[in-house]
Amino acid sequence: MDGVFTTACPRNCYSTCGLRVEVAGGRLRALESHPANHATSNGLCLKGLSYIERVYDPERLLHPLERERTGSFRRISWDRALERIATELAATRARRGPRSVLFYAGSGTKGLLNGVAPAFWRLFGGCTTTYGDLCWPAGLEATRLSLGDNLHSAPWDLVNARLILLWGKNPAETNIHQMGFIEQAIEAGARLVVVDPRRTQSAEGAELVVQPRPGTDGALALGLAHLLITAGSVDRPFIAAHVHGFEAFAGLAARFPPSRVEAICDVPERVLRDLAQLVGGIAPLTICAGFGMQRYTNSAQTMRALIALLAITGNLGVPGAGWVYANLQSHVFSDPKDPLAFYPPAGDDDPIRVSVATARLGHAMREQHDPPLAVAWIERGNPVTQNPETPSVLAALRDLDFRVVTDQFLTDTAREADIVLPAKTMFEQSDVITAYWHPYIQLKAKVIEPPGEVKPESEIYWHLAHRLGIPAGEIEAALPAPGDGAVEAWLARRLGAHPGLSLERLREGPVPAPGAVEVAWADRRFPTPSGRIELWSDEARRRWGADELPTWAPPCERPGEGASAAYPLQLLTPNTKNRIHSQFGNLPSIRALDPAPRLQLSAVDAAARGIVDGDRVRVFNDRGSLELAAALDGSLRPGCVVAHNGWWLAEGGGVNLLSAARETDMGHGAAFHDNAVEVERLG
Amino acid sequence: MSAGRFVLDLDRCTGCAACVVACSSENSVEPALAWRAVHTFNSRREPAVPVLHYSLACNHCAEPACLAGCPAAAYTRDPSTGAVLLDAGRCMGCRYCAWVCPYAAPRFDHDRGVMAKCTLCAHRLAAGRIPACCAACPTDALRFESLEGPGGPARPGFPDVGLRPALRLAGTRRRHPPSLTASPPHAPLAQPPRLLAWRRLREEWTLWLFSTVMIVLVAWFTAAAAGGPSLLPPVFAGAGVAALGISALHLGRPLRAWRGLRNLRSSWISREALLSAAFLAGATVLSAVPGATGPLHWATAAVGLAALLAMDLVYRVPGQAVAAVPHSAMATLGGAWILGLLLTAPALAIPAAVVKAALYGLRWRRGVTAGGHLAALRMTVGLAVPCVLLAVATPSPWLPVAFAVVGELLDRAEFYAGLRFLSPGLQIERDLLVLTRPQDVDGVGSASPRRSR
Repeated sequence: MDGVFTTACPRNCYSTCGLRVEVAGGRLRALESHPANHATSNGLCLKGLSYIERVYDPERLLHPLERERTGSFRRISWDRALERIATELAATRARRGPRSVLFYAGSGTKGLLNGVAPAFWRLFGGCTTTYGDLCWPAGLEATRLSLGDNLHSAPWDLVNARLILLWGKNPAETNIHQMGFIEQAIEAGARLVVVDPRRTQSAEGAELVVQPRPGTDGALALGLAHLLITAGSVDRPFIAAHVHGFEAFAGLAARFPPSRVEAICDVPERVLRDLAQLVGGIAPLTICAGFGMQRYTNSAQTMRALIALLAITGNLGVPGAGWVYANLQSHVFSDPKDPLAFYPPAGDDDPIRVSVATARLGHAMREQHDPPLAVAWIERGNPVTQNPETPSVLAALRDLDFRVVTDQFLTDTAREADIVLPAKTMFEQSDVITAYWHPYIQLKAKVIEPPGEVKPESEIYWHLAHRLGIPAGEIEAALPAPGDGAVEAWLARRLGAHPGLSLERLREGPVPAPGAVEVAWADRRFPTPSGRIELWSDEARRRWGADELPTWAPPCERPGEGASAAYPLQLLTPNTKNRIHSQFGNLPSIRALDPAPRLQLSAVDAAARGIVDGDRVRVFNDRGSLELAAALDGSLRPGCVVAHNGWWLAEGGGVNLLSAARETDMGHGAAFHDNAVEVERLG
Repeated sequence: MSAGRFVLDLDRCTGCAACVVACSSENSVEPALAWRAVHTFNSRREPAVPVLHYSLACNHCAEPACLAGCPAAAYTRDPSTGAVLLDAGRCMGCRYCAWVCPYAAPRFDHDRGVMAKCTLCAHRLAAGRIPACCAACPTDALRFESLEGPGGPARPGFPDVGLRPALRLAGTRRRHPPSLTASPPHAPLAQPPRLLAWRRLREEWTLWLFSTVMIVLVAWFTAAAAGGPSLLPPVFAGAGVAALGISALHLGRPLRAWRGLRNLRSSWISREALLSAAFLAGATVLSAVPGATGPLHWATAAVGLAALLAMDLVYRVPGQAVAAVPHSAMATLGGAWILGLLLTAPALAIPAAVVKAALYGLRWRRGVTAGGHLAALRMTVGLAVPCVLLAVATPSPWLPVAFAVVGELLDRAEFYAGLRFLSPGLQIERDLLVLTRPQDVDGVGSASPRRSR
């Protein structure tokens, strides 16, 4: 199998890079970016470059493990692992019904073959699973309600922008390839403004960093809208033709005069006016919105208010303009499409019960009745560190009778399992993946044999189905048999429904999704109920009980006020360039760059607490506490402290020890950024 | 002669470190010993100063200090690519190249006892491909170009001591930081560079002992030749052998110590090693042969003094935190001081003591001594007491010398603890301090950082 092959990175990441991988002697030798993916052809990120290390890391799980009474793990055979799992599953199904089994899947690996899991659970007779998503559904739902669908222009269209607003997004760490397009735009004369409480790496090329109080971005947007409307800097013809609810929206915006916005957001009126002048005076404008600010209890409304700024200035449907949030043009295989896929079904006649809110995983697991949960199967995820309120997740997992976790490493979640199954890496089974920033469909090719006794999940399910005595014919109809041929045939069938897509073509390189457009909304056809951009949304009221207009309400935790009086600091838990959530941090090359979790805090807040750089500090609230090393930041908004998410508990990290299990206002997202804390110096 | 050079666009570099991982992956380098590193200027984000990232490996300088200074002649320049290459098979692990390289490029591999560094991906260049770090850069900030010429204007945090690195720093926009709406003024976080660190003495204890013993032996031999206390051949020879042995322990590969003589043309270490060995051999032989002082004795003493001078010149490295020459713990000065005491010659001892005291005071003011009790001990026990003993004419000159040696040990201990050679980290600390001083807050453009030459 030696040679150079086309493949793609299936991580939960904007960039979803096209790759070329060199294999020699059956081992990975080198990785580079694929020239045919125009969004990511410059080069790879450090995580992608660490894949060789990841595949051959000595701590990678290569055999099934069983937990002993002492809590340590011992290696067992596949035969024993499958037998024990089948016995437990069958017994639980007989005693309490199939829905007493929780199937939990995270975002660890993209691919069509992930669809094998639900197919297995249907064969099993059903299960219980989650609804909602940890990442982005409030923004997706806000976009769907406003524009009708989640798509945006091709990543490279950003070079046509003359004003770029990075609103709560830090592509230098989370979407490195977007930085190239931003730089090109700036070199061509574009101006860059960042809205973020942090002076992020992405802000270094900006002329202005607006640092609002977290959770107040909606008010900031409404205040800007008010200034634009009163100054007449809006696109009246565009509004007349394509915007629904403008007058009502203008009325809402009028309630956010600069003085009130300054009081809410703590952004000087002068800056607000400067920003309004930029937004009203420079076109085309692209807003690249991040995920962090839509993880508050008021966040879908926030995102709707941001979109409204583009709607009233006519910055949609032309090159260089638009709302760059999620581009699901490559999601041609999904049915139903996001964000609808995150909602629990209206009826309850499916054998798969979709009743556990991901945002409240720990609590929701324990709230299940008829039947209550007894078994958990967890794959592609690390809910112990990544879902809100870690203590509640741990407690719910420990309540169960039996847990199976599939992973490549012994994560905090895997450590909770009774049986740990060794998972494949992206190089060990072919699959087809989509993206959410660029429009390409890509092949994630099998290029090496799985090491040790690793089996791809589809094979695990196939073997398990046979152990459970499911008729061979049913298995054959639902699951690909072990072996590359069956997997490729399964993929070819899925691709066959789409003209222009085939494994052969994908082996050559990334292929733009059928029907993908370069400039989103160029046809001005918005698939909303009114056929226009909806600043007024009846569906917001009907589905979510929310205001039809993007009103702003304070987030539910207000540091230093009300119930959070004892916790005057806002904890921000962003992602870092060094990891994808809780993945990669365990590898030596990543650890050499980022050896230990830290708490960034402003020089002002540090001084008030007698903290100097490097001190051990305790971050705490009523939900939990975390001990970290302090790192002073001279430009961070005072009142904010920052700890990157994704550190394992075993590494002394775990920011979700402090977060609350709550849903966002819409979309069933996780509002875990509503998080007030206090910090004290240790010793 | 040169295949090309690195280009680093400071506007585009986000410090993502893909280049670091790409390098380690391509060259099978352990991540902890990575050949490339990102050095961030203003990592604590002082509001008034931009954040700049310097992704640096070996810059394959036109005037490489590593190549010139390597005593083992382990460095060569590859004629086809212009790369400065290190032959690990010739390296004895003295780490001198790490001292003299201002870019922190040579890394010491403790397990193998030798240095390792960037090869300019010579194997890729041979195949017509650019170095792995440049190929991997996702923002096109790190590139490779086949041009030569000036490296661009001075940048804060970038060391420049005139070695003519094969690196062009591009990008001009990031001279001013972004305007921030929520960072109230606060005292700058930048602190003066920390100069004294005792862990450095832990790393260099062998050099500390070797150099002090050499000072005493050279002074003793010279004094004996001039009619001072006579040599005790077994003690002298034993101390000399022990000193040489200890100095070899400094090396990652002690059995390759002989290689230290390979670069007499340009390495002060090679010269120091040759002169020290010649002195010890000559002095040992002469001390064993009874007879009057002759020209051979004087020649040997001169070789010994030359060895001390070479020892001092080893530490003369451009850009280091504290000027190593002149210095109160200089071996030549110490030799003169102890010689004066051994000869009971105030005309030599007193001026030496005065110069040492003055130089020590200067260092103390600059914060490169521990100060306090240690400084008091050094001044009283190490300088004042011997002077008093000299004045009262003790029966044996060894009594004041014993005190003086204690003083020398203290002084040289502080000298090694205070050795801080130029590196990107030191340059960043220095320039950040300058740029965040209240009068310089209006940006980088207004205050060009002082260059150390």
